[in-house]
Amino acid sequence: MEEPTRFVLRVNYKKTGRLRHLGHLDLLRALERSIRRASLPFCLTRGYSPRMKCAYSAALPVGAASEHEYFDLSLSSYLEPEEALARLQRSTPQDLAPIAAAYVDPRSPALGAWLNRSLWQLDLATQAPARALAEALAALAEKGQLAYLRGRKEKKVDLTSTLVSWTVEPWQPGWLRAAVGTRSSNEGALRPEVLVRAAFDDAALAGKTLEACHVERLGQWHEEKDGSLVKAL
Amino acid sequence: MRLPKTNSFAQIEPLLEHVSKPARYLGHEWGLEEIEPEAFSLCMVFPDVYEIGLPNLGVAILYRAVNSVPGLACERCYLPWPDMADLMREHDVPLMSLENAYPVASFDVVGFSVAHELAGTNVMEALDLAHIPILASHRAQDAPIIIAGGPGIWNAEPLAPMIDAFLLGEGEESIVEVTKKVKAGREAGLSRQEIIASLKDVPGTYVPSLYDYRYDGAGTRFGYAVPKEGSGAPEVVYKRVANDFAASDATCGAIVPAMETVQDKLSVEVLRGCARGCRFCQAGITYRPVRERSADSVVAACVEGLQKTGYEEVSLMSLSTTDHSQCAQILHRLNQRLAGEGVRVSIPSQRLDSFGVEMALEVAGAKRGGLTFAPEAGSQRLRDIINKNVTQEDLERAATNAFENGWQRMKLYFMMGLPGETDEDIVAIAQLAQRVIDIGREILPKGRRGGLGVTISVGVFVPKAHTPFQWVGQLSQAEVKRRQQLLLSSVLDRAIKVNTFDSDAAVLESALSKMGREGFDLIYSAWKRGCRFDAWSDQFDFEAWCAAASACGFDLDEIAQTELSLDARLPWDHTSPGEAKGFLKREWRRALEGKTTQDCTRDSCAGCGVCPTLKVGNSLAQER
Repeated sequence: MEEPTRFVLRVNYKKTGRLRHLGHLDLLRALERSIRRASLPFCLTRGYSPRMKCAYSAALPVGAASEHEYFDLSLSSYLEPEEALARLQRSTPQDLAPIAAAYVDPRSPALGAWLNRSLWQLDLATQAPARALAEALAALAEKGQLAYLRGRKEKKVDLTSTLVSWTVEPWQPGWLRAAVGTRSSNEGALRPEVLVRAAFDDAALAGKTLEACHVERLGQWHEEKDGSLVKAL
Repeated sequence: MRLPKTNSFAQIEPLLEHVSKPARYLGHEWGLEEIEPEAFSLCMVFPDVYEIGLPNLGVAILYRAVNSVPGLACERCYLPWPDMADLMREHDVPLMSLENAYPVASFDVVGFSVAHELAGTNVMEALDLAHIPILASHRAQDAPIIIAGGPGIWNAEPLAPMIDAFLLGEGEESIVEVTKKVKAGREAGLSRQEIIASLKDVPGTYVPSLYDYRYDGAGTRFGYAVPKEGSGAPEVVYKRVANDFAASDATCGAIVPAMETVQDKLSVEVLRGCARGCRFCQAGITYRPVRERSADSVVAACVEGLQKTGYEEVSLMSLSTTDHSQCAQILHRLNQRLAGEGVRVSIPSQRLDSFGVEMALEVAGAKRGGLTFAPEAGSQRLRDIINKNVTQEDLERAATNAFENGWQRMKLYFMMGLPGETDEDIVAIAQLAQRVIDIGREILPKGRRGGLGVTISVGVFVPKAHTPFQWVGQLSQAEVKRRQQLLLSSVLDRAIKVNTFDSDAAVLESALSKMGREGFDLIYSAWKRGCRFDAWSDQFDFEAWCAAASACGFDLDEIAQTELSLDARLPWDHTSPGEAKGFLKREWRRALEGKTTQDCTRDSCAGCGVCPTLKVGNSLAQER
């Protein structure tokens, strides 16, 4: 018998340090084990192989850091959110430490699709001037579509819906800092690093290379029909 | 000058996005021991990839043993997969520990956990990536002291030229003593040679540089070792047996990885040793005596371990878990205790009888995957030769019981090339599988017979050191192929699937199981030709090994097939798990006569010699 989901605890956690290089499935495995160690009264799915009922926000690209990741954990009994958070903090590796927790409506829509807006910061090791990169990004946005290879597979992403905003500024010597706003939907999501790497193919940046690219997600929100942003917690 | 202890993660980090499974190189797992900064340090290197090495219970036990001693610290290192190893060479990144990302060459002691005979090239690969000279005699005064242990060192000589000291047997106490001895030696300002020589005083430690290696009439063509005059080294080094196993901490496998590993579950060691006496089995000799933890301590360790680790499954580990005198009680209590937590209990293999099936039933829950049994030989005559004390009736009852309880698929393990094997024994494998299928058809209702299936897996027998079959030559590859064909043509039922294995790796394993110190030249030459990860069938390059062998003047097939004289000194006689050679000879003669020998945990003493030699004894939780 499936236990009734009476409480849904939304937890904000980070993915930083060495463990930001974990793939999504490894991350989920690590988090589920943290939840078990915390002895939270989690619900199980039914079937031959019962699994923990937990929904996660959309996968972060491997290597990207973030302090704005979320999961919704179904609980069969109530536990003070402060107590649940403290237990989770004691049982989770530092790199994935939970930051905040609160109950949400058990009928809340699935997190992965609901959190459809992200803001990204990209630190770019390059000799390219900030303006040239900003212009290359503008040219890409103008085209409205981006085709790229993921492994051997050609992928296409529609920039008119997925690319919301971008800025590029000089940062430390030899580095630029870009901020990119994205919107995901059933049709797809834009990986900010893919966008920036594509911009380096632009003729205006000929001869300039991207030596390193450190990505961080600065926030995730739900976008209402009227364009206003709703916080996850 | 020894490399300084500096965190070098920033050197490996840029390589992560270019390799498969970067999670192998991250560390930062849950359940790491507190590592004392500035402590005298040991790096435990498992010479295979992370997902194989992390679940290794031996490494986990030693890691905890060293870290629990004030003033000592232990970190871990696993061998990078070839894609990463090549990049590290290209970018001049040294092999480093997982915890603090210190270069392996910056540690005081480096320990290799050697799981099998094919790990030699990977030990070389690790030393080379660490920038530590492969030959012990080429190492600088302040270079780390290189030690090795594990089940793969019972023929130590092929590895001896690159290992400063071998720790024979159970290492949880001796690794601490050896590390402390090195520390004391360094503090006293002793030379490297003096420090290494002093390790012979730690019981169970074999120091190869204190032995002459001889090739003369007293030994086989593979030579033998004798203590150097005046070295004070013992003629025979006996293995260590840990003190009071039953009272030791049972929750050691407590590092929880994020990435999936080959044993992605909590391991609780329920018993050590096996005295069934299968004559081909090296572990059956080298892990004696038999010692059980009590049901109370096993249940408590499982419950506590699951809570501490968050694993979804606990495996009751041992050579033969269903032989535990309280097995039924343990499984029963665990099932009650863990009900409703979404946690599974598993046992690594089933004993081939009705009891084995009952135990499988205890842990199966609602699942009925496949059941795995190891009859090892097809005929009763051959099972008697190898002392696999299992009868046709046991097997039939097990199969009946399994089908009655809802299983439809079974896997049966056999070996080919066992001493005394004839064509009739090969045909008997097919007949045995057929008998199981026939039982299944009788029992299963019509609608479920479609799922009925038996898979027979047939490996090639490799004669191993310290077993009654250690003198035997391996079957030739041509004969293996002929017998494989015979087996395939003897299987007439489509519900029976046959898996046979390429015998190339078995030939190499057999050769390395027989060779003496000259085996090192072979391994080195193979590694120079690019051989590594030889236990991985997709990496194993037999042609390169054959080229290496002929460059050294060896013929692998011929070595593998060599029979050794019963009276000669063998390359491994000086490193002993405590068995009497007379016992092995007696067992060999009884094998030839088809006489079986009883299990001393159920019957009277069989006289293997381990208990009196090592001053130990079997210790069961209750009568079996």
